Amino acid sequence: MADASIDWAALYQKHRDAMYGVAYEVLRGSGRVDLAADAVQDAVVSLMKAPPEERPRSWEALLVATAKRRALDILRSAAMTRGVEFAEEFMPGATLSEEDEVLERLDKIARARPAIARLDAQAHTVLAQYIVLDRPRAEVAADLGVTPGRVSQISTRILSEINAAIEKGG
Amino acid sequence: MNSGSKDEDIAEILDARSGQSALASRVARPNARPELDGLLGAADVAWVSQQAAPPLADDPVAAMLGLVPDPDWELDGRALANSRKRAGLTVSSLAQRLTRRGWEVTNKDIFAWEGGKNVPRIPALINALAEEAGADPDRLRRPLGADPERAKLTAVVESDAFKALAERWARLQGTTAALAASALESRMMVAVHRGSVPDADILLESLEVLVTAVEDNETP
Repeated sequence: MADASIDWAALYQKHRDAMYGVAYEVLRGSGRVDLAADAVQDAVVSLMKAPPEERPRSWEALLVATAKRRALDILRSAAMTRGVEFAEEFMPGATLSEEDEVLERLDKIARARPAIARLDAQAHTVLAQYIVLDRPRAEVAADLGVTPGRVSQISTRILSEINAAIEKGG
Repeated sequence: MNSGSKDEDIAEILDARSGQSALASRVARPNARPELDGLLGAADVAWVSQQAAPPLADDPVAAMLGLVPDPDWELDGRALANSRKRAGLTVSSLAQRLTRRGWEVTNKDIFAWEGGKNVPRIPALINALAEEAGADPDRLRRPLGADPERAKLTAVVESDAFKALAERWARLQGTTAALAASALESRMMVAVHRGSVPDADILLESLEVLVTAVEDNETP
């Protein structure tokens, strides 16, 4: 049953951004990011129902890996409804190697953040509007008063800086 | 695309994403150079780093866990100070206990709350403070003015069915029925914020599903 000694509210408040992030990431390819809330809720409810017997190595890794697993489950069931084979084998909870993968991913994200924070205003617009929001390059170029080719130059520079920051810590 | 510059190659792949990740977009283009993967992977890391959970008031899980500030109740700072002293806790030991539970609370926060400044309205935090100070959570909060939005839910909140659900949720969460009711009420407000009609039966039914899901395997 729900374990009253675990403060789920505090844990969720701390890690909900990362949980949603991974769910969006899994679901973005299928165009169903609207299902992220379901994946996150399923993850929290399943962990409350069957809490870990020992304190996990990392609550963040456990919560995020479980959200990722639930998002994959949702994709899988959507694929089944459409009659498409879904290769990945079903597993009820997050396994240790999944948690390791998630920790590695979270580590990369943490290393990318300071590099993103150092970007100037123009580069930041390219990152937010073009790389993240996926707005047409020509539109972003028009907003900035530069050519689309210039946006692609800025974009490559940003990605090189972020990649260097990610690699450095590894 | 081999003839194009690196900037153009990357832009072409990013332009073709249409919702996919940058790496997925590269894989779908057989002519694209795999040596760009480092930079495309960085685009995907940048993408996810900029994602965030919805605002607390629109997050159903946050609401059910009591993280949505309650417009009707706030922490009673003086009651907290009294309970803390009665429990023989210093401000810093109380802050440490909350930090250990996962709350980001500093000594400064607790000093401010006890002095009546920036007092929290988060039911889960008031509950955590009460647990650590060994106090009854209902004594650590005091009423504010009524919220017209919430008034729409009065009939539901006063129903026996809702009270029974709140008691079950309180037992699962190890909190009082009043704080559990506040969390469940916030959970219903998420539906109201999303623009659905707050039909009493539907609201109660969705809470029933949620509470049952958590207590499902309680009995062996």
